[in-house]
Amino acid sequence: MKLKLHTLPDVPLEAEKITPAVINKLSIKEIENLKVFHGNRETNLADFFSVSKGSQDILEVEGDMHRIKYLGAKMSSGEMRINGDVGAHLASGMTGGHIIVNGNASDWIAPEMSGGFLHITGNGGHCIGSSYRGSAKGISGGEIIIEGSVKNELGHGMSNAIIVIGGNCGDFTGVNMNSGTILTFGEMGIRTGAGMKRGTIICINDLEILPTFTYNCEYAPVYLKLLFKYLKNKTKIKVSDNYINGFFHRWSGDAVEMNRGELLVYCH
Amino acid sequence: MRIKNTEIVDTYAEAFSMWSSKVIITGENDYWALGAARAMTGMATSIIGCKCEAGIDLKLSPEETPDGRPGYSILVFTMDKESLRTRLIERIGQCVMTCPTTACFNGFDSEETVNVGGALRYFGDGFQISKKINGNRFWRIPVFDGEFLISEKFGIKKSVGGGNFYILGNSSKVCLDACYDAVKAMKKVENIIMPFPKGVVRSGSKVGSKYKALVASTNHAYCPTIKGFVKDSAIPDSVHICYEIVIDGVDEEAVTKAMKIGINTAARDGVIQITAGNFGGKLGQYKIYLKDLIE
Repeated sequence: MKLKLHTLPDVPLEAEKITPAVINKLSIKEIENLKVFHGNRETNLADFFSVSKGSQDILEVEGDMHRIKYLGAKMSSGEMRINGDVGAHLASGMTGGHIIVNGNASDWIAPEMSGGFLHITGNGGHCIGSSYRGSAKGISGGEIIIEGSVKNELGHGMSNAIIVIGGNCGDFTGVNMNSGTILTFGEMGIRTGAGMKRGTIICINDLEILPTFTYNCEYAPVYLKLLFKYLKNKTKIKVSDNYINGFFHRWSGDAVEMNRGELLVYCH
Repeated sequence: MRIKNTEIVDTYAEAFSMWSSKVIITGENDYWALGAARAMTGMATSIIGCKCEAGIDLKLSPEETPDGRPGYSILVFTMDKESLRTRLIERIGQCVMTCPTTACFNGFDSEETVNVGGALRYFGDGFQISKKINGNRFWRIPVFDGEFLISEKFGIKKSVGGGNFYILGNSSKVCLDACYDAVKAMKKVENIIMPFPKGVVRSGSKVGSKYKALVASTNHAYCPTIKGFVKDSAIPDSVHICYEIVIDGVDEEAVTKAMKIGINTAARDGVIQITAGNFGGKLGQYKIYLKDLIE
């Protein structure tokens, strides 16, 4: 199926029903009559989207959707291709499947994600893959690849997942991280890894390291060779052979927590 | 039946159902990867005395390995699943984890798995780190040169062990040359190993012995030095030497393919006869007939 935005909503439109599992089993008429909330008013999907037959297995969504929230929410399988910018809460609670966004993403992307694959070709906002306020645990699985840059609090409280950022990161990347991996190719903001318990933050560029981290050594982690090769095969992110064959400084922290997290910083 | 001037006996190789696992060993360079691969497959010629049969399947280029470094694929065979897990833990723990720069990955895409890295991780004494890539969990265990990286689970498959054929020659040189050429050709077949030294056995065995404590003893029917007085000798008059090549494979197809290549390569002037070992069909689950292997 193919959905095309024809009317930009005045206020955010909560479109959690736009997932392959819901859309692909309905007729065009049924999709047009799906109820969504425009602000606090219930309306039909057809008031904003035109629906047409598209690829049988892939749900395609097109348009400037920076005011459309919850696209792909609770998605468990299938593939969704989005051409255009997307609003907050994309892939909220996602457990499986594949979402590709050819555009930029807003704040609070993939909260409570536990599986699946999210690929954004543009930039992202604040709190991507983060825990909601008041929750100690962020995303608990899956993979998020963002080719551009992101803002603050990437992977706040995350566990197990992999987040890869092709560009720059804002402040507090991996704050309160429980486990998992964040790989960044651009510049870092301040206080990276603050309060992290376990987990890995890999930085290709030098960064300001908190005094509660301790330096260990310079080495070539085989795990990174595996990860870089995997990314090279699966994404369009350019991974230099220098990184694959290079050495990394290993820092342990955060000492204010369990001190079992690590910062791996590429040796230039 | 003949291939060139070599008689092919109308018999079959009796092979057994075994369990196997494929282990990918990588290293900083070929020197270290091969060192670990050789150590891991050492003293693993026969289930009878080694608890497993193991060998190097293929040399892998950096493009073919998970971490982009040179490596080797190893096959390990046992009679049951639980002992396969034990052998993998022992051999990877003692021979791969100990070898500088190496890492160890699951080589089978199989539903049935055994937990190996998940057991060896305890060597990390609490400092180990787990990582998941593409749904597969790996363990990073701190060691003197950095970290030993290992897959948590290794796939296992029901496989075929004990495919074999005997090469009977009229001279040592001809018979050794035939073995050398056959093994060299068979090594190109994927998913098989020939676990004996350089792929060849000179002490082929039979089940049982006159000594009650032994489960196996020399297959006297193929020992040339006693053929004159042994009533059931199977060696033709013109034969003075005999060797056996044993093949374990991931499936019957791989074993059959290797045997076919081996037999057709070994056949030549001076190789009087090629035959195969069996137990009358009473022990093994597979019968591989030599008549089906003639090109």
